[in-house]
Amino acid sequence: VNSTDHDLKDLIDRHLKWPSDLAFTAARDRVRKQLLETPAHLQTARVADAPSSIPMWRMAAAVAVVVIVVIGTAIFWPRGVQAYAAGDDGLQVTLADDSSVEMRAHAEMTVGRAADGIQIRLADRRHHRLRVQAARRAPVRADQGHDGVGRWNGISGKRR
Amino acid sequence: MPAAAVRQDDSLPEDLEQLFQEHSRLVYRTAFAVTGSRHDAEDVLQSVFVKLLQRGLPPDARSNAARYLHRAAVNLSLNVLRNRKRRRLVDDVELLEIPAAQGGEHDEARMREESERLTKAMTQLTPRALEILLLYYKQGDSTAQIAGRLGTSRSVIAVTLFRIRARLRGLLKEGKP
Repeated sequence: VNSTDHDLKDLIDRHLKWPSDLAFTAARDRVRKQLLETPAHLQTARVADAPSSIPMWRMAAAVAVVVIVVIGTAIFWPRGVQAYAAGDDGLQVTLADDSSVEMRAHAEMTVGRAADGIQIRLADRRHHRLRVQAARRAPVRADQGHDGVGRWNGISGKRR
Repeated sequence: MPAAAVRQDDSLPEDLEQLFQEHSRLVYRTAFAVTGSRHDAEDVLQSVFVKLLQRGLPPDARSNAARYLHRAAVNLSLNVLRNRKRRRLVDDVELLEIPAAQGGEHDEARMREESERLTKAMTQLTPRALEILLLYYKQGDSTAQIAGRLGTSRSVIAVTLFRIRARLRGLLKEGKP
């Protein structure tokens, strides 16, 4: 036992007190009476359990990180390149991998990356206005728009 | 003990009655030591036994009810401390009698400030640390006795006490004006 120990013990003895027998007996009797008189399901603990072992600052930090990730993803996530055939003649587009896409007039598409190559998403919801010629066999895939019917034909494109 | 459902008119369910008779003093004393208030200690005592009445004693606590109830009292007392800014109830005789008649207002203010620092420091300890602190410094248990109570080794308690002391010293220094 060193002086630090003594100091701490003195401090604790000065400020942390035991109750008197009288105080304990009175409290015990009151609590017991209440336990007896009130049905168990109607009793409420006067002191609630600790809400959570996770400190508030950690919760706040976790929420902040999630928000930052969501916003960052929304801003920087590659959404691909949009192409729109504005004229009446249509448009033929050659992609980076030498695939070609033939677009009819006013057709619209988005070209983006997919896990297995390039993904073409049709924005045209009424007609099939694209023809795609893949440079390689597997990696090119044409997807439909939200409610359109996209189709990947593999037909050779030609300039209109 | 299963959750108590059946009760005689004049007594608690048998198991609960036994726990109440044997351990209510331990719960109340612990809560009083930590909170410094009769009212809060009674609230803790009530809460511990209401929970026992409704939920029963957890299976893993049946072999050492005293240990479970002591920890429950420490946990709830810490909740009380954390949920209140140090109140000074006029009818809390125990609080008011601490500084009395030893050296006037200056000493009284110093004692109050010291008490508040200790309370604040205690709220930042873990329930286990506070439990060990109380057993060692307040109850006067040896490290071997505490180890026996908590189901661990004496050396673990010795190391834990060393860390608690260091932490408490730091916290008390932080709180110095």
